[in-house]
Amino acid sequence: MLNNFFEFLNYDFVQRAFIAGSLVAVCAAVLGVILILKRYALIGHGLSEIAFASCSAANALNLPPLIFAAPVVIFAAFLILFISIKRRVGGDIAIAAVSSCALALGVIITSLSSGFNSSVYGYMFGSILALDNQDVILAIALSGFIILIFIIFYNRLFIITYNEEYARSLGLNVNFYQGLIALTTALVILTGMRIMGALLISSLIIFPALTARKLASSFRAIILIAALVALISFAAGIFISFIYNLPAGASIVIANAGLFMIIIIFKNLLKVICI
Amino acid sequence: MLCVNNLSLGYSGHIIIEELSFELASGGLIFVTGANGSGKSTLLRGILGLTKILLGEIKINKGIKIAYVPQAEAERTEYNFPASIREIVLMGRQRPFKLFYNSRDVQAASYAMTRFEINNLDAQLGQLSGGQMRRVLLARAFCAEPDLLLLDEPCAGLDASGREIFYDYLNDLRLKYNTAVLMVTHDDNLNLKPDKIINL
Repeated sequence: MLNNFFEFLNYDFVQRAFIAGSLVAVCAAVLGVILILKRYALIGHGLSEIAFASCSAANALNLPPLIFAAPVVIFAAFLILFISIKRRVGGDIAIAAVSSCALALGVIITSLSSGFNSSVYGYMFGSILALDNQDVILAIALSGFIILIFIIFYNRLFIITYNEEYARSLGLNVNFYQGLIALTTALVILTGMRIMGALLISSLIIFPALTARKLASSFRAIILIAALVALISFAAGIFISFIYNLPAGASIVIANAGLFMIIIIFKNLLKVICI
Repeated sequence: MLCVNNLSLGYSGHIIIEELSFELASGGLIFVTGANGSGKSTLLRGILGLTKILLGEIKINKGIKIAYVPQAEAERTEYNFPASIREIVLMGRQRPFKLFYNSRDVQAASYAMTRFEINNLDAQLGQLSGGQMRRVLLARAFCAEPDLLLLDEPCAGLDASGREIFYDYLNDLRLKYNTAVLMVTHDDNLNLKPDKIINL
C-alpha cells in the first residue's frame, strides 16, 4: 500500500497538489491563530461563501473566476471587519447575514445559468488533484507574500492580537494592521478555494490553530505548532484520500479534525493518569 | 514634554474632566488623585489618544518614548491569552518604526523581569496572582526606558516588597533617563515627592 502511495507521489499532478496545498495550509494555519484569538474565526467561513457566490457569477458571465472574485472577496473582508470594529452590529451577526445572502445569491445565479456543472462543483468542494502549473505559481506567489507579511510584522500582529488598546498606546497604527489581517484572510480564501473548495477552506483556518492551542502556551509556539499540524494533516488527508478513494479536500478536513480529537483525548488521558 | 491646555474629556456627551491645564517637564512627577469615577484613568487614556478630546489640546514632544501601565482590569480579557510572560514584557520595547527586537531589547526586558523578581517566565498571565500580574505590567512599561511614564494605580495589589522594588526602580529610571511621570494614585503613604498634585 505504501509503495503504491510513493508511486502515486511521483505523478506531476500529485506533486503540484502537494506544493500548492501545503503552502496554503501553512498560511491558513498561521492566519487562523490570529483570527481565533481575535474571535474573528467566522470571517474565514463567511468570506468563503462570498467567494463561492463570486465564482458562480463569474462562471455565469463567462469571466475568469479568480480575477472576478478577488476584488469582491477583498472588499467583503474589509466590510465585515469594518462592521465588526464599529460594533454597530455584532461581528458574528454581520458575517452570518452577509455570507448567507452571498451563498443564496451564488446558488440562484448558478441555477439560472448553467446549473451545478463540474466548474461550480469545483469551487464548492475543491479540485486539488486538478491543479495546473498556473495554480501552483499563484499559490507560491500568494503564500510567499503572506508568509513575508507575517515575518515582517510578526511582533506588531502579536501585540494587536493581544490587546488593541495597548497597541494603540504604543503608537501602533491598529487600523492598518487590521486591514492587513483582512487582506491576508481574503488572499488565503481565494487561493485555498481552488484547492479545498469554498465550503471546506475555513477548516484549514480553524483546526490547526485549535489543535496548537491545546499543545502550547506561548504565541510563538502556537504559530509554529499550527503550521506543523497543518502540514501533517494535509499529508495525512491526501494519504487517506488515496487509500480509500475519497475526495481529497474532505479527507484533509477529516484528518485535521481527527488530529484535534486525538490531542484532546490524549491530554485528558494524561490528566487522569497524573491524578 | 507634556502640555495640557483647557482639556475637557468625557463619554457620549457627558463631561468628566473640564478645562484642565498643566505641564509636565522632563524628570518631573505629578500625582493625579480624586474619587472613583472622577476621570483619573480617562485623563491618562486621553493623553494616549485612546479617548476622544471634547475640548482643549494635549501637546507631547515628538518622538519621545511613552510607556503606560493600565489598571489590571484593562487586560483582564487577556488573562487566558496564549502568551508567555517573557513575550508580554518584551512588548514594552515595541516602537512605531521598529519591526524586530534586538539583543538590547531582550536584555532590557530580562533586566526588568529580574528587578521585579518575576521568575516564572514561561507562565501565562492567567496563572499569576494579582500582585504578580501587576509586576509583569510594570516590568513591561519600565523596560521601555521611557521619556514619559503614565501609571494608573501602579501599586494596587503589590505587597510591601513589590512596592519597595517599584519605588527604587522608578527613582532609578528618573535619575538615569530623566523620565517624566504622571501617576494616578490613591496611596498617600508614598516614598515619592511630587512636583504637583492634580485633584480631580
